[in-house]
Amino acid sequence: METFIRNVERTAGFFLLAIALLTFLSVAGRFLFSVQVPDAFDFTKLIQGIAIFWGIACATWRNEHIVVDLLWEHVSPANQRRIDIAATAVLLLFIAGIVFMLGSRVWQDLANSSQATSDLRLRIAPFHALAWLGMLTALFLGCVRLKRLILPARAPQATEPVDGS
Amino acid sequence: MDRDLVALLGFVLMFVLMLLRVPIGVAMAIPGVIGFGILTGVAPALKLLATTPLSVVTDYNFSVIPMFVLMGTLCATAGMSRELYAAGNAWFGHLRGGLSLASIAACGGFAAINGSSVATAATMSSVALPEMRRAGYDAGHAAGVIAAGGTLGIMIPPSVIFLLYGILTETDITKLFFAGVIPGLLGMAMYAVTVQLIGWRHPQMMPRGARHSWPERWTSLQPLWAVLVLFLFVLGGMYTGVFTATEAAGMGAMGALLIGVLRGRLTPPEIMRALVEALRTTASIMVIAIGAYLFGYFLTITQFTQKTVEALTALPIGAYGVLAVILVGYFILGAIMDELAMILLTVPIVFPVMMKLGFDPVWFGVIIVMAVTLGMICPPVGINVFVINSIQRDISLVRIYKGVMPFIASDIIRLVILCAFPAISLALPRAMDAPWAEIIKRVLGFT
Repeated sequence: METFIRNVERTAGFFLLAIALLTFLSVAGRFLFSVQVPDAFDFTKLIQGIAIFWGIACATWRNEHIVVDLLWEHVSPANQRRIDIAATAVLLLFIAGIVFMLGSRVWQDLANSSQATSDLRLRIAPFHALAWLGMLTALFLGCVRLKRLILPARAPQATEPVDGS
Repeated sequence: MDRDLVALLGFVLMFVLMLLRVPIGVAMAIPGVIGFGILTGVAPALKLLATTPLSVVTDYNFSVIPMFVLMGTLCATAGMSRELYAAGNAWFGHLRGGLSLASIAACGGFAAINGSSVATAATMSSVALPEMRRAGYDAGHAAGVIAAGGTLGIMIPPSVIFLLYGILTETDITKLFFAGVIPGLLGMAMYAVTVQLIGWRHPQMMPRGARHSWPERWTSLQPLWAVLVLFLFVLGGMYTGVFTATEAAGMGAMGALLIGVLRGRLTPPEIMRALVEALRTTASIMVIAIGAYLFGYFLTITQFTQKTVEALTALPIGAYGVLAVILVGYFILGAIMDELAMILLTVPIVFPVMMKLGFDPVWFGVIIVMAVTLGMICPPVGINVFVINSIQRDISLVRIYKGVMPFIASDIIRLVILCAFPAISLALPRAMDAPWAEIIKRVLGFT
């Protein structure tokens, strides 16, 4: 499982690098050669969506979402575990809602939508489907995490505090 | 059901879920969707789940966040934070509280290449804190300096909080970034004065270090070219209009990568580590953004925002009185809530109030960042304090809070100064529109 997660993280990380590279090429092309990278704008958005949804899957597995520990820090370990179970269940409920609703839309788009990128006219639906798979993975990993919290098994711990502010 | 009651219940449910350690973004999203469902029906509410998360994560404006986060992680991985601290130590280490001053200088320098307060605090905790403790500094004071110094990360550009504020209010991000420069430098100066005052009252807390020779001091500045080049590249590019703020983020990330690789500081595994770290941070932030948007739709339909604007602007206490009320609200909220969530949740409500009262949007952005700065170090939920405690487990939260108290006082004074003298924040943004700035751009061939 850990190898799978690491590979997912690395792949999604490369997507971030791809966004930086696209921006760099786009600006350099425009400023130095007066040429545009085709679909740089669309690709940036789509790649970002894929990277973030897959990143959410990893954050769900590693329990690295930003949370408020105010109550949790002042209760017994047994109650901490109960709080963790309840919080993970609520998180899963939310992710399940997205997976179901977004999934219906994405599958419809895959079948019917001809929405495409501006320059290369590539269909957008497959990119959205790839992003949706990230949320589906988040749901799966969240379920495994919840099972490990409920049953006496070792739950994965956050490696380090994460925050973006 | 009555809209006001639904709005109230929505807020209650949100805080309850947050206390139950539900991820903050989800704690906002669930009452948002449920409340929206109660007022409009189940189908429209569920439709929100089909559209909002995807539209938020594929919003081009939000690409600034992963890119500036990536720039920061690449710089930290390339060891730039250590170079900054070493230079600070060489110049100030021999003074009373010299290592505290070095930490503040390093935090300010690192803030110029990194947009996160927590990342600044976490990085400098690993770099500066062990050295300060080895030198005999009081652990609580040392941790307090870094917790406070870390907040410079969101005032000195680039800044994630300025970015979010700019995106939410459609305020020029370049102007916001420039508006943060002087208040950030003022913050550094005031922290330095605070350190000197503490050293004067409690000299035993901060022994003097060894004096470095002048050649050593000048040598310590040499590696800082990378920080300077990156800072000037990003801000200069935005200022001259060569690239937009959104593009500046990507250019900064690529610049950090190229500089790191050319200096031999970034190997493929280290680049990978920086990418994964940036991904984790971005994912955590974007979950909050999704939640805030869902909760925001709910608030819109309850007309909560509109009613709040009307109520606040009708208060018979004048514009600055309303500002004071809002700031007090931020302090209370900051004590229990994450700063990103606070910005995403409250700015759409308070910004129209401030505009209606005639305040400058760029100046108000600086004031909001100051309010957030205080929230990051104030008890009981000062995220910077928590981060340092998680890295240096043997320094208790109470001890760090004690250490950070003088800096909270310094920040409150700075907030009052910035409120009283808007010119401090607005001087640089206004200079961007000055005729001579246009002439410079034209001479350089950028317009």
